[in-house]
Amino acid sequence: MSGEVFFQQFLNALSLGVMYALIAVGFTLFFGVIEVVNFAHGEVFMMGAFVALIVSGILISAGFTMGSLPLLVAVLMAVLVAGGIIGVLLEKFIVRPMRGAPDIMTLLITLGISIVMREAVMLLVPNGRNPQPFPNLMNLDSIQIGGVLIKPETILSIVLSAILIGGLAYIIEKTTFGRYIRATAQDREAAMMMGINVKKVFIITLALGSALGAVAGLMNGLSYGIIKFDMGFAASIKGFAAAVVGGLGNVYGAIAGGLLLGFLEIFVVSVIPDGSSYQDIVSFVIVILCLVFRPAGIFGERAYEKV
Amino acid sequence: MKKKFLFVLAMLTTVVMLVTGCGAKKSDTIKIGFIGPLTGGNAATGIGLKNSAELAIREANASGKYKHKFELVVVDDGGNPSTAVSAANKLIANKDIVAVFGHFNSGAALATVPIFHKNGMPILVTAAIHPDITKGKYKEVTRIMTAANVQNEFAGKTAVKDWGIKTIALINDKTDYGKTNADQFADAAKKNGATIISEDGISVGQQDFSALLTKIKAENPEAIYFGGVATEAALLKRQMADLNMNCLFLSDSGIISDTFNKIAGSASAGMIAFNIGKPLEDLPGGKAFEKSYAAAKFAEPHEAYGHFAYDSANVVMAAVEKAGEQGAITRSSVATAIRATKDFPCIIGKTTFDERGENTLKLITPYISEGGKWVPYYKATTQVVNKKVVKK
Amino acid sequence: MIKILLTEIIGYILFLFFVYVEEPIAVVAVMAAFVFAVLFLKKKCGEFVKSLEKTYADNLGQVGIIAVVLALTMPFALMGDAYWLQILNFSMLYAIMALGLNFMTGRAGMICLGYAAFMAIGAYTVGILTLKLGVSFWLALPLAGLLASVFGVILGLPALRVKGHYLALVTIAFGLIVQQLLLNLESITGGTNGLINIPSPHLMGMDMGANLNLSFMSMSYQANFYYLCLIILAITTILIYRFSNSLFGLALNAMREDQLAAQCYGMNITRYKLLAFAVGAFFGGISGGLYAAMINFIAPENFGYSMSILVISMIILGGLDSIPGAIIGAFFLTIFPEKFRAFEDYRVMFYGIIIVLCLLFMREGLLPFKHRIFKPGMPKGEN
Repeated sequence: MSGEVFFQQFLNALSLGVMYALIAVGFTLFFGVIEVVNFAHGEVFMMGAFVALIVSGILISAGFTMGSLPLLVAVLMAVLVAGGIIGVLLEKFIVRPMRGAPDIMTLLITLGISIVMREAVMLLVPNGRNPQPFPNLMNLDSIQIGGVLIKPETILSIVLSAILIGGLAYIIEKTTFGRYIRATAQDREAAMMMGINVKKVFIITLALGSALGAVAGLMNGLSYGIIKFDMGFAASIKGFAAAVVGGLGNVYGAIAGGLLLGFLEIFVVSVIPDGSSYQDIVSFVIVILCLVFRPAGIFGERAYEKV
Repeated sequence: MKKKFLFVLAMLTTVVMLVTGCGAKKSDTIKIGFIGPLTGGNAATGIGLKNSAELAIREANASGKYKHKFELVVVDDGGNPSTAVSAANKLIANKDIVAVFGHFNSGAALATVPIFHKNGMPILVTAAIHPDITKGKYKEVTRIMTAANVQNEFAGKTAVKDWGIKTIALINDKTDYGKTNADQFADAAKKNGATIISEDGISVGQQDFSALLTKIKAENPEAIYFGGVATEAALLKRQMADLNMNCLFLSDSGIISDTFNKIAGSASAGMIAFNIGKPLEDLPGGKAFEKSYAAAKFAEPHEAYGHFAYDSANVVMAAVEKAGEQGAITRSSVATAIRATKDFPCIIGKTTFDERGENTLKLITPYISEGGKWVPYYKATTQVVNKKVVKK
Repeated sequence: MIKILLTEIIGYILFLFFVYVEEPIAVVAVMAAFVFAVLFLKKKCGEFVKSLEKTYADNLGQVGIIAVVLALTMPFALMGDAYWLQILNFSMLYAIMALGLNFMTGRAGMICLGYAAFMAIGAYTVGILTLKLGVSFWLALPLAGLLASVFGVILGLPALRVKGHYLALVTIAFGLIVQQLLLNLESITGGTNGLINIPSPHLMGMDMGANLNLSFMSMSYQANFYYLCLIILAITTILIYRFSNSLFGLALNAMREDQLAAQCYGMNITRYKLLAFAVGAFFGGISGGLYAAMINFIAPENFGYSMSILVISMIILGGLDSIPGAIIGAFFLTIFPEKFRAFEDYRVMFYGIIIVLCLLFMREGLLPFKHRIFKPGMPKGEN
């Protein structure tokens, strides 16, 4: 593989990886803090993309111009807020009623609501069954360096992800509320006894994780130019796989897992003959291998029952 | 307690019986079945087929040109094999139905054809193109649409002989449809002297082809052929444009829809695909069909293949008439009569069925995307010159 | 005995009416009337209903035999209607799958979201053996079940190390990998085209794919499969019932409730987990094999994630770990959508809504299973 091709593939992998990382962080937060696997997280990703589609449609017909910074910022804000709201709703109506129920039930109910969300979008969006073109919000040309082409969307994805994840890490590590989150993750009962409002922690965690997932959806729409009602399913599986590989409950693990998965997929396609047929199941095989040989993930999960 | 219980049960039963009612309709019109995707992803196409078929039936009944009156019994195959099988059984169970036509999805048709054959029900396949549908050469099975293998042979020949392509990279979406088209195209191209330099599969629903296209770009093929449908084709074309790849990009009839142009956006220009059939306005009966369809004021458009359903209905009705002239109208006699159709005037031209049940009339037209629209190649302003697409 | 007979016959008649009612509005009316009646009865005649339930629970053998006898007459009551017989056949296939999955997920607590893979393995085993190697269906079917069991154990191995959420992920991955392999291994499986013209089984010279010709009437071939499925469903129910009520089943229950405690009691968790997978998968394979012989056409697209979800929703609706619940859930979710063909597009969303609503409001399902109380010295573990 020539140097140029290598670098091009490297960029491909990086942009794919950060997207997986954003979703994985959500999964890992939910598991670490609330002890819940939220199968509906992929659908939040999808909703983020659709919210972006609808909001940009409204703004553009209201006079915003394509490719302008205000438009991009407005859409981004809308997506973050929408993600947060969906997270709060999920917590109130789906997660909270299931407290105390066996894990299977919580898992299944998030699965159920993910189906409802997916089908609802398919049925309510006009021509929803088909892929929807995503507006070209950036409207910039690719940059060419040598034989390598860099899309501005790729740069945006990488930069935005870094900022968001960095911001999240800051919140968790340096703020008081972040300390509450860490305490709840470490030992929920002790946190309650220390007077931490665990309910509030749950709500905020779900809101944060979902907001990140929603932005990943926006990035996906920008990068590929289309969104579809079932884009959440693959995102769920891969995001969850990345989180597991990195160690459920460990935010840095999730980031590493996401990047690893992205790079692995690109590697399989570019190096192995007819590898692209197997691009999707690479994640699954990796997950299974990981679970068999190193169940705690690469960085080790914040486990509660190490038995 | 027990009395109350029984009372409630009795009330319940009475309610049920009252509500059920009855209503069997006796009639001596000839019933023909239509099976197609009325729900699901291809509902628009299916409803267009259904409406066109209804139009044909209405016209025949109104014109009085046939001795019998006809009635269309419609069932939904949902575009997938399981639903199709249920629907087929429903039609077969109705003893009044003497013939069936329809199907757009090959998967559905492949599943129902053995069942129709087992029950001696004639099935005229309207718009499903998988070659294996007629593999059994059953006397009940005929197809009015040109099968996919013809499309792909034509495509392979055109690419190599007319446009001088020598090296091709093959991509397919790993579905029955996509893979069959890609393989048959490859065989035709190889037969005419080209080389296939790589073969790759992608998944339906996949979005990221950057790695795959980067790899293919490094191999420098003169053309890429994609077997699959609109969404993935559009994504591939877009990502090819992102990578500054301007080799020829060819595909099958499945991508010829507005969806492709919408999703590929400005990158759509120059995409070439081989369509089955010919533009309606250039077909012998096309303009008349457009007029009658518009006059009938259906809620939905006839979509791309409506006229095939119209033709199917007419072929079946004519066959029923012929069977009636020669004896009793049974599924078996109608099947024989449909098979014996020769030079029957259709919108698409003169239809005759060969020994396998395929239409001897073959229509394949290359299309090219320009200005966000699909244009038949023979009418387009951009053409292939020196293995690149340029404006004439 | 009389009570059981009467109530079952009434249920039979109601079912027939449900079949013959055509208008969707009428169907809704009937269902609503039925629900009201049940609620009314529970309120006003609570005592009577309770005693009825006890009669059922104490005389399961009678319940079963009467049900089977009534079921035997169903094709005649339906006048050989191929369409409805086919739907009943599908319901029975799903019921077999639901029983198998219920055993794995409900009784043993091993969540499985990739169950369709076992059905696929069973279907392709029968398909390949009968179509390409000319093996008799009657030999291929048990082999299908056994091969599915083997795959169940294969799935069980990584599952040993994980539980709960991870297990869900592993099972989803398993389902998708199996589907992908079926697509890619074209030479054996026919790839995306699938296998066409799988031969119907022959029984004592009679081709089950041909019409059933009795002296007084002729019914289309679905009737043959109806009886076959009925027999296999009956056998499955008995087997699952036996497994569940044995010490084996009790152990699985213990494992489900608290794995750590069970281990402390000396239970060999590994063995039980693998066995649970093997048994559950076996029935998936059987139902897949039946499907292949009945429809004569299988393709990987039939056995995807939605199929796995469908079976899960069936057992949730019926009640996890409830045998009659699994059967009822399967029948309901197969037959009900058929009546509402016009709403076909909403079918999948309907399944999702069922899952959510059931888990929120009716966690025990339609026919909840009462926890077993095991007292040493009692002949049967009963409530």
